[in-house]
Amino acid sequence: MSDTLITVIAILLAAVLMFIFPLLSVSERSDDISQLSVQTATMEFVNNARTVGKITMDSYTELVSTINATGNSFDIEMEVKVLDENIGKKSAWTQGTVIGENIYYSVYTSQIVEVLKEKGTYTMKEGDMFSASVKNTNKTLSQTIRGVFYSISGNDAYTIFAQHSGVVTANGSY
Amino acid sequence: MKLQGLGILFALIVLPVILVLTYYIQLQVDTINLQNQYDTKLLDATHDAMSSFEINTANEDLSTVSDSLRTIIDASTNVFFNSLATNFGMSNASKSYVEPYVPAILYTLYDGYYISAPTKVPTVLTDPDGNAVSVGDIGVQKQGNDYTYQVIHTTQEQENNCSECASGSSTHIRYETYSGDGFIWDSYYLKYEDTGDDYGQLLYLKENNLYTTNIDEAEFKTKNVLKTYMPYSARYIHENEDDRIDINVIYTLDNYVTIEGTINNVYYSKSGYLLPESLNMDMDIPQNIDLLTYNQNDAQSYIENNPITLNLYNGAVTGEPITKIEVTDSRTYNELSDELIVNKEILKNARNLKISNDADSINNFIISHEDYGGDLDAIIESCNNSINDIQYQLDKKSAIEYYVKGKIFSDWVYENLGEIEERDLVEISGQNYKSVNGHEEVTYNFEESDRKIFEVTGSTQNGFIEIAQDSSFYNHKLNVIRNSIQYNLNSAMSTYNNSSSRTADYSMPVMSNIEWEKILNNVSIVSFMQGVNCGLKSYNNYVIVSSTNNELAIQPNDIYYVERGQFNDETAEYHRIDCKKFLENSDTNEYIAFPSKEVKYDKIYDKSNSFLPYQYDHRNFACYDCINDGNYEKVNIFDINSIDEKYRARAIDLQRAYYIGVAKCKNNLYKMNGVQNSKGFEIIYDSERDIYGTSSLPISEIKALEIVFGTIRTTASDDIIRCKIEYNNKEITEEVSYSINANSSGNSTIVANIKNDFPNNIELDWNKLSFENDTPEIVLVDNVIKSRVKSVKVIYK
Repeated sequence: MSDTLITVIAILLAAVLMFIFPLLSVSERSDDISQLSVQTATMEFVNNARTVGKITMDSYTELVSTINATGNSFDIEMEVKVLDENIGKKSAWTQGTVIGENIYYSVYTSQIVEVLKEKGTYTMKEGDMFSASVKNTNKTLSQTIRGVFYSISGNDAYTIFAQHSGVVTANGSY
Repeated sequence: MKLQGLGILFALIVLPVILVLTYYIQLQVDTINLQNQYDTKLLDATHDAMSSFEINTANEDLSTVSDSLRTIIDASTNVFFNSLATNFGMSNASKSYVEPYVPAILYTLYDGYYISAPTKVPTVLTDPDGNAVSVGDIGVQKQGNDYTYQVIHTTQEQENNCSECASGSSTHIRYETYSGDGFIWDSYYLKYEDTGDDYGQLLYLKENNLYTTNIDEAEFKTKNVLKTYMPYSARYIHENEDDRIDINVIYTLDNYVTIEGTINNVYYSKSGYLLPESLNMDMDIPQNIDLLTYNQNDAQSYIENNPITLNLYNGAVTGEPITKIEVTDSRTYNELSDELIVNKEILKNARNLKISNDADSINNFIISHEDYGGDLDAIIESCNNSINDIQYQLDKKSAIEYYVKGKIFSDWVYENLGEIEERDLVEISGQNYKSVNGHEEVTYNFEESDRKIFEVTGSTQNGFIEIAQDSSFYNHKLNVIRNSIQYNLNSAMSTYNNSSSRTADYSMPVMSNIEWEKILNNVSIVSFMQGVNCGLKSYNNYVIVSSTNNELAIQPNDIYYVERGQFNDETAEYHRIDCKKFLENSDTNEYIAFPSKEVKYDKIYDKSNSFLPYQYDHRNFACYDCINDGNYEKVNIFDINSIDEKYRARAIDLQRAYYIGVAKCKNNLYKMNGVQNSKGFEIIYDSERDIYGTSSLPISEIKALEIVFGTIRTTASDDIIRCKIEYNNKEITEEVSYSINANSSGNSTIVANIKNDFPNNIELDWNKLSFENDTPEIVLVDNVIKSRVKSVKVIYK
């Protein structure tokens, strides 16, 4: 009787050890590799945009296709902080000894994508800031397997995440 | 084997594999992450360097002068290394740690480029004040018979106390140093070495605190050195049966070109903007003269001093011009500039008083400026109006200068150099092209191309005043610049690689065409970083940062416009030329233009101004459509048919604003390699070299004669005689006669301008020139001035 129980437990354990653990591990590596390519693609996208001063439909599509090639679905969030020097200038006039601070206003993904679809290019100027973050929206294999043992719930349940940002270094030619 | 055994075996094999794989992939991820971080750090440091460059050029009046530019670039490299070191998490004091990883930084400027690269240099001995110490200075003592010297550092006080210095002993000196109470505590014997050939030589550091005059023995240290300025230049030799052209052309990022060299026997040095061949013009001027036959500088001074209207045509000078620039104001350029300064000063004071609220001062001010209006606001408004008006007149004068001078220059280029082909190229930036092409792969092979280099036809986007981006000229220029940069950058990097003791291999990366385009369109900084340990590999990348707001170059895209009456009005907006809002909302036909750098770096700190020490000198608002957010609705003002009929007249006004704005901004740039006075010259007579002849070009092409006289003797001493120059017994010079110092032991030179209306299309012959004494009261000893002429140089327009 006890022999049988131990055998069953041993078989279960063996199954976990021999199949599920390697599978989990391999799928996590697969996520790591996805992470690698997503990270690189995001960074290239942002750095390219900020050195030429514009986000182009081409580079955006390239980013989308590169990250989708990992087999996951992703959510791309972009933000352009547009430098507005007017306010700084105007506020300086109320008192003579202070010079105004620059102010930024933000433009987000949906507005940027709308411009991209309409014109093919989103133009930025020197001094603006551009950031992009990418995270997976589907459950990757490793997340599913992990879900068998323990579950993480909520909106931020992603394993692949990349983000990059920086100051735009040149006025976008238009 | 039992199932369990197999299972364990499986686990034993698979687990280590998984573990190793995990570890390896993690390393790869870390490497890529690190590489990404390095990329960002490098980009940010390069951007910092560019910001430093832009700010320094904007706030330094002499930034475009080469010496000043060098210091600005030195400062910029300094900022780069400081920023890079800080980004790497080190203090900026340890920037020397990152320096070896940067094999080169390239600065491409308006008409040439700098490369900053580590170079092995000997350490030259200097005193505490930074002056070089050489053999023969106090304290320098010879050691043995070779080039080795020992140096005893002396202070000024010690030198003053040197007891035998005063007695004049040149070989053996004794000086004593005194402690505070007058007790002699030390003394040295020093020598002035009489070392023959070595005397005056610099001393280089050798090992063990010894110095040498032999550079081969010196100890070399790696230092970041800004190499000499390389112009974007090329030399061409074009020969056929009739002509021989040997010229050097210096290109720039835009259409400005400097040409020096000989065409047949005439040596030319000319600079100017190359305009499209199809751009023609006529002028309404009170005097009946053709400015286009003038020398560039004479035309400029005419335009500066007279009212003028310029009509530009695309193609033949008939029908409706593409634009008309009218200056009716009779004030000269200098008068206008002076008045501008006066008005700005009054405006500044009025603004200060307004803030100060000091009733007495305000009253006094209003009384002393009653012409301007009865109260402070009226004075401010009146000054603003005058400033806007004067600025607009100045802009128009500048623009007309640009077109007229450009046309004079371009016509000359097309006529004289139109035949030069790419295969005539012999040198690029002073480097023999054939020797480079023989040893290295060049990006473009000039030897096999028969394209004409001054062929400028092509399609233009903005109006008709620019040289087409797809023209032969433009392509050739880019190829020349690219070859030059590539060659020199490559050699700077490989030199460093060969001399570097590090194991990393420094080499020039291959840059893509798009990247070159970026480098060659704007003032840019390209920084290279190689050899940093980066996880599983060694980091190797470069970054390009282009500048759009600098003092050195103007891009038509980066010029902003504002309605004339609203210039510097703090409630009005400035725009780009193709902003729809601008077209539809402006209600004037006159606009003032300014380059973007003027608003980007327009904060002024005026220490003497106690009320408003910080000011902006451009008060207009940036348009939220076209400037702040670049994603605006654009209109092509040059495509009139695409514009709504009710805005067409406005679009034509905007076109004029563009033609004035671009021309004015370009004309006002300082050109480092430009020639101040464009001219050609030829010697037609030289008594010492037995040259007697005629000029190669007709008299109508001659601007002036430069005549050198030997000693002219008169019966009295210290006389000044007036000499009259005639040609074929007709007056040829602008002035009736010219002054020459008589009886002087040296030569005297006069420059006599040829009359613009001297009606002669024949060559100037030395034999037909006559020189007469125009001062009858002075008696010449030998009475023939012509025999005293030493040389005659013809200066062409």
